[in-house]
Amino acid sequence: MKLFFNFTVLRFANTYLLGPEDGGDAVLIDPSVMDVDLLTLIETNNYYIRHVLLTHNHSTHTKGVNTLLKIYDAKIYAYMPQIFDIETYPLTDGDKLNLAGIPIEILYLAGHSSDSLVFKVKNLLFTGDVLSAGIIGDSPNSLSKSLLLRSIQEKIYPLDDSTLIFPGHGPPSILKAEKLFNPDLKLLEKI
Amino acid sequence: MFTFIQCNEKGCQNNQIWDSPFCLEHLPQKNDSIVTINKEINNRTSLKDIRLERYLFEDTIFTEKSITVCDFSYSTFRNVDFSNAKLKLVFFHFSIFENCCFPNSLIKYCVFAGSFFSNCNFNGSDILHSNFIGVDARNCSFNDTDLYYTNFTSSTLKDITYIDCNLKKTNFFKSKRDNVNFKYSNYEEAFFQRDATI
Repeated sequence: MKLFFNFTVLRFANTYLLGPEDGGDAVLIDPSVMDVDLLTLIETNNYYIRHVLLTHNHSTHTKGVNTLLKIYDAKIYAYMPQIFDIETYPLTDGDKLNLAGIPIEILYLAGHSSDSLVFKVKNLLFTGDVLSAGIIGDSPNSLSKSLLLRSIQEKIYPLDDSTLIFPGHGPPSILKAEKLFNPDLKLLEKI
Repeated sequence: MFTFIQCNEKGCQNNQIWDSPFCLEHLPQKNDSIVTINKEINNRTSLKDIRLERYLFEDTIFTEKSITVCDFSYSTFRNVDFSNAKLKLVFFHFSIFENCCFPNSLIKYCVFAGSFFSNCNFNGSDILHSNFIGVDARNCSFNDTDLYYTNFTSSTLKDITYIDCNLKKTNFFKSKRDNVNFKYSNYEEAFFQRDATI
């Protein structure tokens, strides 16, 4: 399996491309913008985007979907059954997928938004806005923040400390470092 | 993309390294294997998908090498030269760097979280979108460096110079800074408090 990282300055967001070693059908996570850089990345590696996974329905992470669907005949996977006018393949906590030969486990974590999903691919965790390097996702109120922290504690903390974190914004990280140094996760000690 | 696979030795929690089914500790003919690995590192101009967890790099020269998607976590780097190297998605978390230099290197999407740096020189490099959370750095220089979107949250920084750097979106939230020099840098564009959310 190959992993490619695409960053767009326009929305300061990360898009991830996952595919087999030799090209073919591939998976795209959170296409924030469908720009020339991303298209070049896909095409030069001989991929065809067959599956698009959305961590949540915030435009920073979904804006590229419409353009992408004009180029590729892709299936969209999200928590919500519909995003824009597009029908999705709805996912929920505990679902397991095998897309383009890549096994993907679905985790649902409420708190940042009502539809936040985290995708686990082997030792990689694509966290969207739920957990980034040194920060957790913004919440509309203290109850939501508490819910997000509890979700992280219940769903992400039990994973192996060497799990690599690939967030929707900012650099990658590792779960052990987040547990030790993320100031927001220190709040878990107070709940 | 590398995956972490546990060492085949019964009860060992460490991960396999290089193309061996064992960790560094349980590598058969350890000394010979290390000589072979070091030779390979020196000979190759590009390193990709390599796992060398808990490895000792001493006087290694990575000058002008391209290093992509590698795991060098929990390792020790002593007198290592990364001049003009290109590092992309390399994991160095919880490592020790002593007297290492990275001048004019390109470091992108790399993870140094929880590492210790002593007498290291990053001058003239581009360190973009990289993770330095929780690092402990002493007597290091990042002069004339582009640190765009790099994260030093919860780090301990002592006797560090960031002279004439690009600090746009560089994050120093909850960092402990002692004798840190930001002269001629755009520190106004860095984050020292939680004034940005995601």
